[in-house]
Amino acid sequence: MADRPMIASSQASPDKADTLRWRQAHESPLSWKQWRNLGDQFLHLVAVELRLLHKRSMIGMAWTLVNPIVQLVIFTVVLGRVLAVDTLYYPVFLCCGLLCWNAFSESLTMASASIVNTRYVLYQPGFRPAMMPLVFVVMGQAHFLLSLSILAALLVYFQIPLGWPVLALPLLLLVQGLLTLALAFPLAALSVSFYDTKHLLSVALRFLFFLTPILYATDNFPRVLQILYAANPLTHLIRGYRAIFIDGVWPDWPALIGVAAGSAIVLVVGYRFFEARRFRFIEDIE
Amino acid sequence: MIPAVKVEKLGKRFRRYRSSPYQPLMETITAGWRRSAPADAFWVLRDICFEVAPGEMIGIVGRNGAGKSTLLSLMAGLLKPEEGSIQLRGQVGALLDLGMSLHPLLTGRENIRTAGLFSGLTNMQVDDRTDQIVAFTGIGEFLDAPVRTYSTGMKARLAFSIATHADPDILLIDEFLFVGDHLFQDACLERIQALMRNGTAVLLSSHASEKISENCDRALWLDKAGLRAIGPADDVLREYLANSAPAAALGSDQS
Repeated sequence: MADRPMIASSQASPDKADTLRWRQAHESPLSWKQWRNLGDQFLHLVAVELRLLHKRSMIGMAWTLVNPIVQLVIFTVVLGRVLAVDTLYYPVFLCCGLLCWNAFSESLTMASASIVNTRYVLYQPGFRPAMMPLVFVVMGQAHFLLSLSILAALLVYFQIPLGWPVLALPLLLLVQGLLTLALAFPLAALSVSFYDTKHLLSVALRFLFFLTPILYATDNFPRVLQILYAANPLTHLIRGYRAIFIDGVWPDWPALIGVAAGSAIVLVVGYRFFEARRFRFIEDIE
Repeated sequence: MIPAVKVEKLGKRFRRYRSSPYQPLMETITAGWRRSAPADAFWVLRDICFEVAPGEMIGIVGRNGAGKSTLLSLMAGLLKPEEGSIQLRGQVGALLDLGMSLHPLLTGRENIRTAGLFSGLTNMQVDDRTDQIVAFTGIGEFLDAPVRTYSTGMKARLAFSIATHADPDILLIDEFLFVGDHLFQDACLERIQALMRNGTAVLLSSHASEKISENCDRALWLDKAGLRAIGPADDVLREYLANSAPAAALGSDQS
């Protein structure tokens, strides 16, 4: 029955098809119009995800300030008063570390879950999944910027004058964003196939918290520990924030450039890992 | 005639899962990071070749698991083929997984913008067309309510309306038309025919074969991961139905 010849359409078309400027679907380079479309999609997704995050709460975005303020009060009382840590302007010192750490860990946690939690966009034809980690890192950095108002209040309270080095702040934010995004790409891709990723990440972040000089300065630590702390890119970022806000000096450029270069390398590798797995997302997600 | 869609030697392989889609990490570590072993994989589609002309509607029939949805997902760029190529001219619109592309917590209006932007519209075009999109759906005052409060029919109408108002050059529809009532189906078919007159190529997959023979120019029959037949809709469907009669189905069914 099926042997009866059907009209095979591939024979009906002329063979000069290759001269007709075919667009190889889904792999062709983007036109300017498509880039602009991607930009529109990106801004819309940031707005939508921000709204989803805050829509049900009465004070909305203000919650991003409550958490660091509570942490700040607890640690200042416990470490600053009870254990009497001997650091100049301890609340400000603590604030620089805490805000940077919170922004990093929250951005990374959100961005790692970005593919798992936003499956509605996965089913849109032509969607670029790589956009999602970027959306959440940008959201995290926006929250960070907002939370810096706490630091500003402390600087006013302790009457610490700001100098020119504060101009390095956008650069520090950029390097921190780069670092977060670099780690977010592979984690977001792994989270789709391995549910355990988010638990492993939360354990890893708990360890990292104590391998980052957030609560104390490491100047008097033994040499072995010093090396361990120096290997943590967040150490250099936090020292950078403290340098520009408290000491009024420029950050340690070689260290910062090192962090930026390392992040860039990890970003390229992580992005390629993400892209290699992106077509498995729909197969694996359920 | 320049085809809107040209599919050549298309092949797609899936990995077979052992227990659950969430393969626990430990299992992978203990098993070693071996790449998908050949024994672990099977072909859902192989050696598929066809073309669709602008303004043509082609129906895809086949039993469950024959690869209909996979074929449309490949064309929408959601999956990547292991073999062969797909060439598409212009913007692709897709109605693949009903409701999956709408976010339940976002309002109808926000979902219109999301899907509109992803269909290649600019923000201004979305603004201009929101009224038309809403008029077709008849969701009216529900526009600013979260989509989770919509009925299944309303969600289907909304998804359909967005996809067909975004000027797709190629429209992919998976089992979609057959969720609504007859009024909705008729309205959808009318809308699709208007798009086809403007040169949109439509690919429609379905079990409901009478809909395909009524509306499609040609039909494509997928069977056991391969292209069994392609040709005038009536001819293909007659053979498909003859083959999937209960007796024949019992004889060859694997799942």
